[in-house]
Amino acid sequence: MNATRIRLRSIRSIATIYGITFALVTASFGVAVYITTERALRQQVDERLAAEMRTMLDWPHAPTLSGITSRIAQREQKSITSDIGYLLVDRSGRHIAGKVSMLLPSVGYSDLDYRDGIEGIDHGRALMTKLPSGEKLVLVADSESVEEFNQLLLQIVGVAFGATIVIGVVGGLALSGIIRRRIQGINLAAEAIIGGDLHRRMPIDGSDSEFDRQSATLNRMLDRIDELMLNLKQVSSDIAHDLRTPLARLRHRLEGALSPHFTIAAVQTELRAGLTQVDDLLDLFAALLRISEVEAGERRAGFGELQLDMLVRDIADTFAPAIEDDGRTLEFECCEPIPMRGDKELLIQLIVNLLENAARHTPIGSAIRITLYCSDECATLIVADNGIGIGDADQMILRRRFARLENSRSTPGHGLGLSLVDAVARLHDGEVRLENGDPGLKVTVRLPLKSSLPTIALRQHDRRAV
Amino acid sequence: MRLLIVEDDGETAEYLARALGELGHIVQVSGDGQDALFQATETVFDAIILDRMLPLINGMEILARLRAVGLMTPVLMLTALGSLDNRVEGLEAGADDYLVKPFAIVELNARLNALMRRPPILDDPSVICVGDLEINLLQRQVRRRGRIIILQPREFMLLSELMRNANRIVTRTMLLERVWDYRFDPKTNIVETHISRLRTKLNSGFDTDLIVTVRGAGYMISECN
Repeated sequence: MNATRIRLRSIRSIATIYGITFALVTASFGVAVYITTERALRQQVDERLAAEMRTMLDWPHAPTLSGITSRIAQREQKSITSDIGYLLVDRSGRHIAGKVSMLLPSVGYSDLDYRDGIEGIDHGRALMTKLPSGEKLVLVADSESVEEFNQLLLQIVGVAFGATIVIGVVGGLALSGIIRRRIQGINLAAEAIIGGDLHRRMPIDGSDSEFDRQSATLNRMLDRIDELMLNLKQVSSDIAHDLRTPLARLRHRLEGALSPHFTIAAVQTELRAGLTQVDDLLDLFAALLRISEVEAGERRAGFGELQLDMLVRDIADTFAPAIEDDGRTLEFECCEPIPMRGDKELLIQLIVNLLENAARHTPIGSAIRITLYCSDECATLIVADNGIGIGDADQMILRRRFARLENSRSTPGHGLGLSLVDAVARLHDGEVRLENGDPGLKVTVRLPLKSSLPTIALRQHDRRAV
Repeated sequence: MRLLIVEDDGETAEYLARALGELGHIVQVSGDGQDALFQATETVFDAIILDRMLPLINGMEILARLRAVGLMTPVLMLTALGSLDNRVEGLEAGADDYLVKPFAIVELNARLNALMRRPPILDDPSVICVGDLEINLLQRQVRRRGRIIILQPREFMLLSELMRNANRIVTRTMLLERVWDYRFDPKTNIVETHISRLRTKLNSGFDTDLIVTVRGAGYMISECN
């Protein structure tokens, strides 16, 4: 049952069913036309006979028998009534007038064919009327043209039916062939990708057809997967690389502390330093976990209403003293309330990361400026400094995990800050842009006030008021 | 302090028991949820340190059952590194505090001590005095030897957190959580800077410093320095 249904859904059977249905509709249409036309034509002959009969017997007044005879003779001469034959017989069936000779039909209409032996009529109609005086008048008419027309009509319908079937079958096969080929192309590409050719893409012929658009969508999906896989690969190797160095250092330290020449106090110093190194590593893991948590999108459950302007002002107030103590200045500018939906904790971390980046990678004496404004249903946060800035080529690098520019190798940090900023912005359906501030670096974060991505249903336990 | 440690990892449990013992606590260890429920209802503890991931019955379930039988012993929940949602879950289930593994023992100890100062039912007092310093939490006013000291809102929160825990260490992380509501550790020394500004305001015109910096642990407000 199920198998049948699936088979019926194949392209070829859909085309066949469509062809057969189309042919049947054409055929029944032909039959309907045939029947209607045939009936209409026959009726026309009958009406002509009836009209002629009225003319013979009633017009302008009922004629005598000799009058009828002369009318018959008269009308048989005329070409206008040449398609009608006349026969008048007396009460006992003897011939009185008219050229037609035939066996007398019954009163009323009847069909004629070649067996009636009337000269020139293979198919016809007869109308017989009994006169009041007992004579019988028979009118016959040829319906050959009707038959011929019917024949013609049958032929036309037949040919049309045949043509429909041929067109249907050929068209169906061609259509299913085309579709099959396109699907085969997609299948082949998919098989190749499954087989390991990860850079293979769905075929596109540039026609902008439905198939092309579908292929393009599939290709975009494949690109995204490719990007994610590349990211994953890079992250794993980066983690391995970034962890090995501090772990090796830690090992040296522990090994050194085991030396018999170390005093207890020296060992304790070494251990304390080792502990700091371990804490740094744990920080790195926490940051990594946080990024993957954010990227998995699970945090959308934590979205709530918040006042972005107040959030940023609060952070600026909190950080300004520390930044000023370090010899830099921090300014914050925002003159409107900006209510939005978002994850408060993550947004705090985004802002803090940008602020700390600016504070850490600029020379002493630099000015950091945070600007926040709202336009087009979008909040724009700009963190700009007048430090040394970065080159264009470095802008892409910075977003990657563990990305650290050569000249910042010596400053503390693990290169995950901007990755987290990027991930948090994307979680909020926003974007991050790094630009040259001339001088310095200008980071622009745009966050839609109402995220358009569907919000994951709030979990029961997550009724946090933000 | 009499403590119950519920932790299934033997090495961690042993380490915690030894370290907390050295700090002067009396410690009992339980390795699984069933046993923990039994011990917790059998003996009176000052606080329970509860691991979230446990065999048989998990930490959340134990917490719920303890609270269901009316046991209001303060519970400090431990969880593995990571998800923020877990913390919210734990606090909503009735945990009094929450700590992410791995952590420093001083952090754990400071938090346990902080738990002790709040009897779960009693309200906070509105006025706290430490030496000649007096803070009125309702009027949001600070006086030292009768003289009013003007503080920024954030400095007031910082001071009140220290005052509520007078004579006990308050760690940097605790201050970040309770004063700023930050659940991560910024690299900038915001706590240090704000403490230093607060100190300057409190001490100007006086010769004793009430805020003690405890190296490697945190801060403490105390009258006897």
